Amino acid sequence: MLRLDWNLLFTVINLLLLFVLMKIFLFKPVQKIIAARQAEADKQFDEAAAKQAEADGLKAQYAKSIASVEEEKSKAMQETMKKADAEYQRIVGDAESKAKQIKEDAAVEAENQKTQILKKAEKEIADMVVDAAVKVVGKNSGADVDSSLYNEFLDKAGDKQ
Amino acid sequence: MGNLTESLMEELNCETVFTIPIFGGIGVSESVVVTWIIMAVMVLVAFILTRNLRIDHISKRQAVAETIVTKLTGMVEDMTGPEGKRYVPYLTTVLVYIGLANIIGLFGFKSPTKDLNVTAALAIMSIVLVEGAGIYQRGVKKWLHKFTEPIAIVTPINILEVFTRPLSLCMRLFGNVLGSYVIMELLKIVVPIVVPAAFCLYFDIFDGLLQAYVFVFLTSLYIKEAIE
Repeated sequence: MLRLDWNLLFTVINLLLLFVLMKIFLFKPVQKIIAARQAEADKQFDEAAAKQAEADGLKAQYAKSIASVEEEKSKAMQETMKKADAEYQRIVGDAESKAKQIKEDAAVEAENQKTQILKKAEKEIADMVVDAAVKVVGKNSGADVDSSLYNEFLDKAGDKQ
Repeated sequence: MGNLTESLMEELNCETVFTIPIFGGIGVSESVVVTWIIMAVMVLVAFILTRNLRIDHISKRQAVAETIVTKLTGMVEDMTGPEGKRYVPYLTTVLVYIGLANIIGLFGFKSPTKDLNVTAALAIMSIVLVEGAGIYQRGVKKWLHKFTEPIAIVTPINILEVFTRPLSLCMRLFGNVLGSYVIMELLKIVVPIVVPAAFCLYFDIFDGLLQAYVFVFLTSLYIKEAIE
């Protein structure tokens, strides 16, 4: 019971051997598998985070592209409206200028015709005057001539009217 | 009564199982042989539990193995602190070994811890580990300086502690196991039925496991003190 001998050394060897064996057969494999599981879990977390980041990136990209499409749309709309406006202005301007032209042409035409008519009338009057004068001169003289000329003219003019 | 003393002494004596025929015969005692049995059981159980370990869809066997290892190492690691992590496997092994050695009496074997050689070996290994950890972690100079802390006058006491610590570890374990064994034997003679069963729970199982815990707890405490 109370003796120390070789068995102490044997026990030390036994314990060291037991420690080594336990380390090989219990601690190492279990710790290895736990570490492997931890690594696996970490990896999955990392992957999930990466996927999340990727999804976020894609979302942002989509949002951006949608925004740019929207922008393009409104830009195109504006451009079209601008073009339409310009076209409208042009057409209206054209129409206005044409109307003006027509009006001017009409005025000129009217003036021409008026002038023509006046010329014609003048010529006719002159003819009539000459005619009347010839007739009067052929018949009378003096104050009678004047008055008959005048009457003749008035008659002729009245006929003409 | 003479008969009782004789049978008690017979039980307490660690018999030599066989003799190695060198150096004039080295007797291998019962405690060493029972230790081999405990080792065989521990290694076999560990071997069976750790077959086909997998990362997911683990078997019940693996769950048991992982629970045992994580619980025990976690318990020991709480005692040593994170700096003493490298000593945890040894301390856990010792914890399981002493625990099994203390309760193996229930299976009809003689507890190895009833032999002073075994407890002395455990205590010597503990103090070697403690001082070794101190030297490894702090370096020889700081380790030597630690003997003069907190003041120089306590140096002799600190040096004495190197011997008293393992002695107390050794004797505490040995005395507890021996004492509980003697009490149980006496109790069985005084009251042979029912009562010993209740006391057996305390002396053989609870005290046995408690002493294993105390031994490892004190060793971890010394290690923690030595390395910080």
